[in-house]
Amino acid sequence: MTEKVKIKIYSSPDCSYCYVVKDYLSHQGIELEEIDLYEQPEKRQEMEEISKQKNIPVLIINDEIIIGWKKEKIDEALKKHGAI
Amino acid sequence: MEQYDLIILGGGPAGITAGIYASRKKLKTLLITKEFLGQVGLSWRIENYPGFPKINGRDLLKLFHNHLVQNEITIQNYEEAIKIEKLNTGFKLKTKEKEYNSLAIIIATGAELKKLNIKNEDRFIGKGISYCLTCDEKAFENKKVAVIGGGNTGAEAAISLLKFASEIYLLEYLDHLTCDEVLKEEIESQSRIQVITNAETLSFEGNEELKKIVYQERKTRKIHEIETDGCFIQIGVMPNTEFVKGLIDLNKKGEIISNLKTMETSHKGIFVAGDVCDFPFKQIIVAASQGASAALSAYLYIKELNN
Ligand SMILES: Cc1cc2nc3c(=O)[nH]c(=O)nc-3n(C[C@H](O)[C@H](O)[C@H](O)COP(=O)(O)OP(=O)(O)OC[C@H]3O[C@@H](n4cnc5c(N)ncnc54)[C@H](O)[C@@H]3O)c2cc1C
Repeated sequence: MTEKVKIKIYSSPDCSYCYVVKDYLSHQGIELEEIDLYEQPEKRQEMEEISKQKNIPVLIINDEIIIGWKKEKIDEALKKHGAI
Repeated sequence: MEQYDLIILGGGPAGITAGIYASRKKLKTLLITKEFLGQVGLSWRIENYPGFPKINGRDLLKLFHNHLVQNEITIQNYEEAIKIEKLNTGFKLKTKEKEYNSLAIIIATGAELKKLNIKNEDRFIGKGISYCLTCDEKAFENKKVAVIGGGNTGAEAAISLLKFASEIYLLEYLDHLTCDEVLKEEIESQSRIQVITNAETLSFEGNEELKKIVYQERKTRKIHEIETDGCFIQIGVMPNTEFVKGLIDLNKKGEIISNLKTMETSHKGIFVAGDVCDFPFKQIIVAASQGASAALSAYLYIKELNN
């Protein structure tokens, strides 16, 4: 059996592009873990360490990190990791 | 091949309004958009759209979208138009994924935020520099932040940052802020916002992260530095017209030259609406009104073709 792809997003309720990324993934029927940096401000440091920068959204597909709303990169990573 | 009367490109206020009008005229309409966000979705506070004294852009766009989907219209979200080809009758529209045919097209692809294109700008994106206020302003809690651009977008960014930042610098290239007077008053009344006019930003400096902005005072030609942890660049927009270059006439800024009575372009059967056209005022209500005009003109054009 193939292992389930782990997808996680660091987001905030004000972040416009976070909504687009989340909607795009849900449009494809993909579930993801969401870390809301307003609810869990202590996770900001973890996000900055993983992505080596400060801007959001940060989307993580297994070990791949995608910063911002970049449809092609998301598609590529989803395909590569067998999520679509 | 899917055949439509009308294809609308763009899911901002212009494209959505065109979609509502076209579907009410019973045109077989397809709306294609990269996403339903556009520039309006980036605004944290809109105070000049009638009926909504204060609303954030994403909420307003959601209301527009809810209204659109109550009509009979086909929507292809998350597709990007990359080419329009002329056919004997009508057009072929190519996206990265598919091709569609139609008798007429409305281009409502809006605009993207501009970069400064100066030294170290790319190096510090995500390391102090951001273009999306709603996404990243909270990263600068109790920090010093600069905003570059003294138009409405920059002025609103500076005001919004009052919630988080300790000090805010607002840098403007001209000798005065170009934002609305009400915003100017609000900025002048805030001691934590320092306005610097006549400032030509030259470079961003730091090691791992942004630490300084270097600018030249344009009158005295003196070079200055500002110590800052963050910078939001809000210097205006660039029209999304790359995919129609060579097909329709554009002005020097790359905006589509339009007949403002009919929203026709230089190419018969192709109409335009919103920030992508050469009308000087870039506002939601203007984009929406041009979307309505473009759809009504397209309807008359299609009716004549069918007669
Ligand atoms: C931060 C900010 C704050 C603002 N505040 C205000 C305000 O308070 N009041 C006000 O009136 N105006 C404001 N504006 C201006 C206002 O947002 C614009 O005038 C308005 O959004 C223009 O609408 P539009 O539909 O022409 O374009 P846009 O809103 O830019 O929408 C364009 C649409 O086209 C899509 N698109 C682009 N290229 C393609 C392609 N090749 N194929 C398919 N789809 C494509 C995009 O995804 C998007 O959905 C603000 C702008 C910004 C950036």
